[in-house]
Amino acid sequence: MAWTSDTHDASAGKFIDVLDTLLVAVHGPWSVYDAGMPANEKVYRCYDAAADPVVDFYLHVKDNQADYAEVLMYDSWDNVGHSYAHDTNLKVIYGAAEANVPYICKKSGGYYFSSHDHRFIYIDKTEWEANYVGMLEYPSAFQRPKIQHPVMIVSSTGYATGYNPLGHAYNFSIYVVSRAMMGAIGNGMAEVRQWGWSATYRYWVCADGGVHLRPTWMYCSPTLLLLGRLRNVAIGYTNDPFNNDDTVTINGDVWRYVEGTDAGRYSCFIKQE
Amino acid sequence: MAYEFARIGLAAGDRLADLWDAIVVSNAKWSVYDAAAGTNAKTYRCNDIANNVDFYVYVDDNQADYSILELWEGWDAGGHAGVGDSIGGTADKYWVRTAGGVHVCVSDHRVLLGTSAEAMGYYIGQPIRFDTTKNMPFYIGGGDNESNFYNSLGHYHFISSTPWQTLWDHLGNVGVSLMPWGRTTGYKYARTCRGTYVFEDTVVYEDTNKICLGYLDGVCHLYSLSQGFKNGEVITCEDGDWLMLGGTYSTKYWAALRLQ
Repeated sequence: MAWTSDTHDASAGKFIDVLDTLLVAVHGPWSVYDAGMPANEKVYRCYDAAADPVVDFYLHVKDNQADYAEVLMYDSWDNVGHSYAHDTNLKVIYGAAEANVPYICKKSGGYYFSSHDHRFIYIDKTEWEANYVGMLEYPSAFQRPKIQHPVMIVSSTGYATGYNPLGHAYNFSIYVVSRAMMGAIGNGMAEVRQWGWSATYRYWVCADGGVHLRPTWMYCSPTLLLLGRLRNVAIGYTNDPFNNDDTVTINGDVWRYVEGTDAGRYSCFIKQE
Repeated sequence: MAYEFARIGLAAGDRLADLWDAIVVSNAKWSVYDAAAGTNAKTYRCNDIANNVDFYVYVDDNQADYSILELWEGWDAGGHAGVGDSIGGTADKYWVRTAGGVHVCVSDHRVLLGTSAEAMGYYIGQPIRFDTTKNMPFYIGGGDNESNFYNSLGHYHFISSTPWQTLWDHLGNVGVSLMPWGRTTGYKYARTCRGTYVFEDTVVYEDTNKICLGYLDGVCHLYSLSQGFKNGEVITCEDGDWLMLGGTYSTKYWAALRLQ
């Protein structure tokens, strides 16, 4: 696990550079699975046979343009034919509608990157959009699912509007893609939503001047079953008296505030780990 | 903390004998402070000075079926009258009904009740406070005494039927309204895809400045979402047994109470 603060320009290939450097080079379960793709495209695999449940998913990253990368998730990949190996519908290729493909904004204003063996978070500091790709966490075996449910909570073609995906966390128009590759009952492309979504009555400031934060549970919208918690992410939705880059320290852990530049102020705190 | 299920008599005075005297004051931090506060009325004290907890609960049980509660800053045991700030009484629906028996959870700083017949939840005492230097006893409960039994712990502050108030907030303001974090969202799902459940203690904020005062100790507020729950159902989770209560009003307002 690592937290990185850095900058890159917005040109083609820069998001792939981040994944190669901060994810694949550091975390054993992540690898480049298909390097024979067109320019500035790669397919990554996250595979951990020792995990419970077993983790195995693929990310097709298309980074051959400025300002954003397109990221698609699949349950298999043919690295000879360079395509989705076997379409089981266990994938994430769009959000609210087919035109709303998953994008991650990668503008030049700097970024934060939180890496982990089974997921990453990329935060664009121009639009202040936080994107989550990979596994949820399970506080105990009592809650752990029998099968993997990797998720993508990322932006879409409206990536330049400052709609923070991790402050919103359900499929919405051109702004947010929020799906699990496989839902609670094995259903593909299942929408995932935050526990308590759309409630504005969420307040964090405490009587002692501190802040209370809990990682947010996500549920599978078609079945209404909890899939797991966002690792190190507490969603605030709206109504927060904070500014981007504010930090709070709780029991020695530093949590950083991210609020999209959109007027809706969709917000979250992310623990730096 | 201690949990037990208590069968409570319905006659005037029975709640004093069967609930408060028999169970609550068995905790060393709770005591009978005025045994002659009125006809079928007593005043109890919760006192833990080392932890900044001190408040009085006046229980008027001089009628069948229910008690009327008041929370007081102090109590004159000679004059049998409250002293200082207070909340409660009939105007604010500070009733506690116990028909059918009660699940009773007593800790050093609060009493948590879950009733059988009306499937109501009541919370009397401190939350798990974010600022432990402040004495902030809550009363959450009540319920319309006629027929509409909203489960207050599954609802939110609504003075005509479901009071959520604190005797003092963190600034010392009296009778401040409280709200559960998330308040009216119906999307508080609790069932995992493994078939188990997740219940977390609910954060409560005061509704004036929206400052969070603490967690309800052993209460998970779920509002109007059922997921198939039944009144009185007990769900076993990793941290113990949780009692499901939704009230008996046509719309159920659900809360899970940890039976510890």
